[in-house]
Amino acid sequence: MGFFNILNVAATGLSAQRIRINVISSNLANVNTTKTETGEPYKRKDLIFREVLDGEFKGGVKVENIVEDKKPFVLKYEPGHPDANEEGYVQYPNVNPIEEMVNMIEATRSYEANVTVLNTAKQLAMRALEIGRG
Amino acid sequence: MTEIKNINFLLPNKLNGTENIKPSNENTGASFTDILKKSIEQVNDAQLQADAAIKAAAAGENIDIHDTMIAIQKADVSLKLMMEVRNKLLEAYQDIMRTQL
Amino acid sequence: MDIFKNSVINDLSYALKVNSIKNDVISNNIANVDTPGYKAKKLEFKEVMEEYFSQGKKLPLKRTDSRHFPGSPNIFNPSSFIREQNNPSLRNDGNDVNLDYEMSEMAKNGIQYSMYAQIIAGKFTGLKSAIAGR
Repeated sequence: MGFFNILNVAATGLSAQRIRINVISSNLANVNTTKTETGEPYKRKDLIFREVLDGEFKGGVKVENIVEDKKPFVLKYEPGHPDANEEGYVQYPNVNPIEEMVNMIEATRSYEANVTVLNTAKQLAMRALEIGRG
Repeated sequence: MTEIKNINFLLPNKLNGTENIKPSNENTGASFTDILKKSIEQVNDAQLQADAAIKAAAAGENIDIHDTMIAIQKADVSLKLMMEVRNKLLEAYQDIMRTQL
Repeated sequence: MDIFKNSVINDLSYALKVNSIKNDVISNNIANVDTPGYKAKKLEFKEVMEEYFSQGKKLPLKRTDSRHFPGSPNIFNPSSFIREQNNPSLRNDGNDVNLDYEMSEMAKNGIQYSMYAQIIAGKFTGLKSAIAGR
C-alpha cells in the first residue's frame, strides 16, 4: 500500500460525508413540505454507508443507497390547512429538526476528521521527501 | 571374487581422501580483486534499485515515498563511497609510481 | 562491504513501512466512522517491531523482487498484525469507531513518522560528509 492509498480513503470519507450533509439539508429544508409531486408529504431521506472492500485502493467508504425513512408521518391538528383531511389533521414530514441538526454536526465533525487525515498525509509525504534532500 | 571387490572398495576411499585436500589458498577468503569486484557489483545493484524505484514512481504506481527516497540515497552514498575509495587507491598508486627509481 | 548491512537505516526503513500501514488502518477507520456494522481496526506498532527485532537479524533475508534491497526485511508482513479493536463503545448501528481516539492515534503516528524520516535524512547526510572527509 502506498502513499496514494491514504489520500483516496480520506477522499471517499469526504465525499460520503458531503453527500450526507446534502441529504440532511434537504431534510431540513423540507421539514414543512406537506405535499410533493406524489401527493404525499416529504419523506425523510437517509443514507446507507458501506465500507469499500474491493477496487484498486483498499479501504474507504461509499454511499450504497439513499433511502426514504419509513417512519410514519407526523399528524397535526390544523383544520384550516388546505391539505387537511376530513378530521382536520394535516400530515407533516417525518423529519425531526433537532435530530437532523445533531446529525449535521456529527457529519461536519467526520468531514473535518477526514480533512485532517488528508493534511497529515500531505505533511508526512513532505517529510519523506526531505530524506532525499542533501 | 568378493575379496577383490573388497580391495576395490577400500582403494577408492583412500583416493577420495587425498582428493579432499585442496590447495589452502582457495579457502582463505577472497582476494583484493574479488572484494573490489563485489563492491562494484553492490554499488551497481544499489543504482539499479534506485532506478527501479524512480521508474515505479514515474509510472504513477502506488509507491511509498520514503522507500523511493531511501533507495536513491543509498545508491548515492554507495557511489560516493566507491568514488572516494577509487580516489584514494589512485593517489596511493601515484605515490608508489613516483617513488620508484 | 555493504555499508548498510545491519544499519539502523534498514531498521528505520521498516519502521516507516509499518507506520504507513498503520496510517492506512487509521484513515480507513475515520472514513468509515458512520458506516453501520463497521468494526474499527488497529495495528499495534510495538508488537510488529518486536517481531522484526527478535527474528529479523537471525533469518536469511530473501529477495523475491528485483526492487528489493538486499538485506531488507521483506519476509515480514506487518499487515498480518491488523486486528479489530473490539471497542466497548458500540453504537446502535453496530459501528464502534471512536473518532477522538482515531484522531489522536493519527497525530501520534504522524509525529513518529516525521521523527524516523528526519533521523534517516540525518544519517545519509552524515554518511556523505564522512565519505567526503569534510
